[in-house]
Amino acid sequence: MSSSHCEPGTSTQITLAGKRRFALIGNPNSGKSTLFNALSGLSVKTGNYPGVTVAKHLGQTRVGDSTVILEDLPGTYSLDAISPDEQVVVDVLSGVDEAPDGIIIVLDSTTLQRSLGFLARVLRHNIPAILVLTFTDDLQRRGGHIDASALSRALGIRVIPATSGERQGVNKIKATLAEFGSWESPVIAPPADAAQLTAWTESVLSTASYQPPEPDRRTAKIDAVLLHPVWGTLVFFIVMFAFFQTIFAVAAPMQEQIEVFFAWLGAKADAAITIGWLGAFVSEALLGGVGGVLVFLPQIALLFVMIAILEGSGYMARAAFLMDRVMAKAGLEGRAFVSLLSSVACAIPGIMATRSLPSAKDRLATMMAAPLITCSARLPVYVLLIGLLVDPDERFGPFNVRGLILFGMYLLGAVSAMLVAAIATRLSRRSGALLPFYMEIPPYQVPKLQAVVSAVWASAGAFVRKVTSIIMVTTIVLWLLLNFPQRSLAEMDAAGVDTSSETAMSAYVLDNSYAASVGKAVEPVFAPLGFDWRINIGIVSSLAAREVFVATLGQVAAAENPDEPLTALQDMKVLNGPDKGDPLFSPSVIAALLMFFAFALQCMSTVGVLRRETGSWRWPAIAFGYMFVVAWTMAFLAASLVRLVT
Amino acid sequence: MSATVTSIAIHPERVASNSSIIRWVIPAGTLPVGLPIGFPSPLAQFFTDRVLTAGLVEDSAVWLWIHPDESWSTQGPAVREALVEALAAPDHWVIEPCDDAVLRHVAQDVLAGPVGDVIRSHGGDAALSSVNGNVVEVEFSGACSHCPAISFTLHNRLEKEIRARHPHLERVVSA
Amino acid sequence: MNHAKASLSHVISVLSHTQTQGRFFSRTGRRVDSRDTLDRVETGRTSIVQEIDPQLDPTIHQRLLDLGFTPGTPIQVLRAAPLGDPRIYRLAGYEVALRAQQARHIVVREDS
Ligand SMILES: Nc1nc2c(ncn2[C@@H]2O[C@H](COP(=O)(O)OP(=O)(O)OP(=O)(O)O)[C@@H](O)[C@H]2O)c(=O)[nH]1
Ligand SMILES: [Mg+2]
Repeated sequence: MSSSHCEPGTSTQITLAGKRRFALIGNPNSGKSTLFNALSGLSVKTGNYPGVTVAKHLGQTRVGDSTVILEDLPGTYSLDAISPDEQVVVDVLSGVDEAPDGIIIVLDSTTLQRSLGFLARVLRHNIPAILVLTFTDDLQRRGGHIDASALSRALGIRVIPATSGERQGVNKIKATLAEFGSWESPVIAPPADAAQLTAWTESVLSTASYQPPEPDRRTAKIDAVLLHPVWGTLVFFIVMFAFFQTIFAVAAPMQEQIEVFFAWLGAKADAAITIGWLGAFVSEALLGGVGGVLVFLPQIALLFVMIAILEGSGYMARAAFLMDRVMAKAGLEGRAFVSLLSSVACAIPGIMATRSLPSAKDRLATMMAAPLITCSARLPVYVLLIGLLVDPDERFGPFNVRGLILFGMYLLGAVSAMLVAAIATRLSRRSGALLPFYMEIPPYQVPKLQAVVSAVWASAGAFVRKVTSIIMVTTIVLWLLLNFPQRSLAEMDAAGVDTSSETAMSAYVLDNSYAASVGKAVEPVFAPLGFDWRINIGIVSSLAAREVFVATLGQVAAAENPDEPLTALQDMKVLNGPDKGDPLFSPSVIAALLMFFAFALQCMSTVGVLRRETGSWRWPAIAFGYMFVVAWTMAFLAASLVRLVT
Repeated sequence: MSATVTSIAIHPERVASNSSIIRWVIPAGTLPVGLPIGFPSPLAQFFTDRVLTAGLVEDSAVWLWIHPDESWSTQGPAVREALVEALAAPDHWVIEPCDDAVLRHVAQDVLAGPVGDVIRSHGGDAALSSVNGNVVEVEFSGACSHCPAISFTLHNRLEKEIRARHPHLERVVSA
Repeated sequence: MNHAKASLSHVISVLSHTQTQGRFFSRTGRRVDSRDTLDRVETGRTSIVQEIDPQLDPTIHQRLLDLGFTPGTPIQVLRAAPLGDPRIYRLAGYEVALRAQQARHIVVREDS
C-alpha cells in the first residue's frame, strides 16, 4: 500500500543499461504487484481491487548471475485502451515505450475463462512470454483444478503456478527468467477472430482439465450483509463512526506517552544546553514545533490501519458498486469514488488513481474534488483544534464529542467533494455520453497481516520523514523569522518595554519579528475571520504542508509554556483591538480555522501533481483559487454563526 | 463473423519429435481414428497445393504434416480456418482405419512428453520398440530399469496416458 | 496519450450516436425488439449471451468481450445496488458490476 505518503513518484534509482527487461502484464487484481514485490524486494502498493497500480514501477532482481529489470504495469482487461493507465500497457506492448525483452503474463487462475482471451491478444504481439498462474490457493480452496503442464503444452509457452506468500513459485520464476534464451513460443499465434478465439479458449482449457472454482461461499455470505440496501449502509456508517471514536479513545493515550517523552527530552536538553539561544531553539523549534507534529503518529498509524484493511479486504470495489448511483448523480461513476476514498490517505494517490477513469471529463472533475477529502495531513490540525475546543471527557449521549466533531469534518469533506464533482461535471457537460462503467468484484480476502503491517510501517515512516524534512525545515526557518531581528536592551527601553520581565521582552521580539511583519501583511485578508498575525503566520507557513500549522502553534506555545503546550494555546490572548485580552482561540476562531483547513488547498505537493496530471497550470490555479474562496467564505460563515450562538 | 457463434473448439500443439507436425487438438470423437486419405474442400486444397503433405487422426486430435519449404507460423492461421470448416463436415473425410500407425505416433508422443520427462529426470530412458495389434512394447533403460517400484508406477502412468488418447490400447509391455 | 484521446473522442461520438437511435425502445419506453437484453433479466436468474449489439461502438464491444461477455457464456444476475442499478453479474468464474446502460447492449437467451 501507499509507501509514498504524499510524495509522488518515489522511484528507486536503477541503471537500465545492458540489462534484460521483463514486464508484468495481466488483468487488474491478478497479483502482479504482489509478485513484483516478491521478486524485487520492493513494496509497491497492492490491494484487493482492480486499478491499484496506475503507473509503471521499476525494480530489479538477481537471476542466476545477472541482474534483470522488472516492470510492474497497471492491470488491463483489454488491449484497446480507454483510460490512461491502460494506455501504459499498450505503449509497452507496441513498443511506443521501449519494449521489454520478455513478458511475464500474470493471470488469476480462478478467472481463466475470461483472461485467456487477453492472453491470446498479448501473445499475438510476438514478444517472448511466460505465464504465471496466481491464486492457485483460491482455486483449490473453491474446488477448482488446472493441469499446468498440459496448459503449457496447449499454449506453447511456459506456465508457472505461483501463489503469493510461497517462495517456491518465486524461485521457479527466477530460474525461468535465467533461461530467457530458451523460452518456447506458440507454434501458431492464437486466433484474432472473436468466435475462433472463444473456441481456442475452450479447447485449451479443456485440454488443461480446467475446472473453474465454485463461487466463493464466504464472499456470498459477507456480501449478503454488506451489499444489502439497509444493513450494508448501516454497517458502513457504524464502522466509520466507531473508527473516529477510536482515533480519540485509543490514539490519544498513546499520544500522551509521546508527549511525556518529549517533555522528558526537553528537560534533558534544557539541563544540558547552556547557550541561551540554542536552548530556546531546541525547546521551541525542535521539540515544540517538530515534536508537536510527531505526537500525532498514533492517529496517522491508526488511519492507515483502517485504509489498509479497506483496501486489502476487497471492500473498495464494493464501495464503488454501492456508490455508483450516487456518483452518477454527480455525473461520475463508481470508480471515481475509489479515487475519492484513496484521498483519505492523501490527495496525491487519489488524484493519481483517476488514471483508471476512461473519461477525461470525469478525471478532471474528480481531480478538482479529491483535495477536499479529509487527508491524513489534515488529521493533526483537526485533532489539535478540536482538542482546543472541547474537553476530552465531554460526551453526547454515549459518544465522545471530539470523535463526533471529527466524524463531522470527514463527512463535510466527503459531501463537499461530491458537490464540487457535480458542479465540475455540469460545467463541462458538452460531451454527455457516459463511457462504460464496470467494476470487478473480487472475493473477499483476509487482509494479510504482513501487508497491513508493511503498509502502516511505510506510511508511518513516510510521515516521520515528512516531519523531519519539509516540516522541520519550514519550522526552523519560521523560528528564525520569529526570533529575528534581535533587539538590544536599549532599543526595548526606548520602546517602553519592561526590560525586567523576560516574557515582556520575548513578546516584544516576537511582535516585531520578520514573521510578524508577514503575518501582519496578510492581516486585512484574515482579520474578518478573527485571526491575528500569529494564526496568519501559521496559515501562510502551512502552505508547505498542512501539519506545519500545528508546528507553528506548538512553537509559539512552547515559547510561552513548554510543559503544557495545550494550556499555553488555550491561554493565548488577543493582543489588540476591541477584544484585547480575550482568549485568542475562541470557539468562533476555531470554527473558522476548521472550515479554512477543510476547504483550502494548503498543499503545494497537490498543486504540483495537479499540474503534472493535467499538463498545465490552469487546473491547479483554478483548484487553488476556488478552494481559497470557498475556504474563506465558509470560515467567515462559521465564525459569524458561532459568534451568533455563543 | 459472429454468425459462426459456435466454432468447433480446437487448438494447435507441438509434437516434440518433429517441428513439421502440428497436433490439432479437437473434441474427442469428432472423426474416426485412422489415416485420412480424403479431405473436405477447403482443407483438401492445401494438400493439392503441397502445403500439407500428410495427416493422421487420433481420438481427440488431427495431426498435419507441413511441407518442409512451408512454415506453420505463416500457413497456420489459414490451415486453422480450413480445418475448422472441415471438422464441421466429418462425413466428408475419407479415413482408413489403421490402429497400428496411430498408436505408434501416440505412444511416441507420450514418451516424448511429461511421462518421458519423469523417466529422463531419473536418469533413465524409455523408447518405443514396437506396436503390435493394440499392444505397445517399450524398452526401459538406465536407472529406471533396475528399480521395480519406479518402473511399476511409470508403467502404469504410461499406460494410462496412452489409453487416454487411444482408448483401444490393450496394454503396455516392457521389452 | 494522443492516441488515447483520439480513440476516446471516437468512442464518445459513436456512443452518443448509438444511443440516440433508440433501437431497443420505442417512444413510450416499451421494447420494440423481441430479443431479451441482460438488463431485463431478473435478479437470481441465469441467461446465456447471444450476442453483443453489433451497432455498439467497436471499442466498447471489444471491452465487453474482454470482460467475458462472449456468445454462449452463461450469466447469473447476483444482486442489484440499493437503487436498482448497477447490478452484479457472475460469469466466467468471476463477478462484475455493470450499469443497465451497458447491460442493455448484451442480447441474451434463456438458459435451457
Ligand atoms: N489468495 C491469494 N491472494 C493473492 C495472490 N496474489 C495476490 N493476491 C492478493 O490479491 C490482491 C491483488 O494483488 P495485487 O498485487 O495488488 O494485484 P495487481 O495485479 O497488481 O492489481 P492492479 O494493480 O490493480 O492491476 C491483493 O489483495 C493480494 O494480496 C495469490 O496468489 N493468492
Ligand atoms: Mg498492481
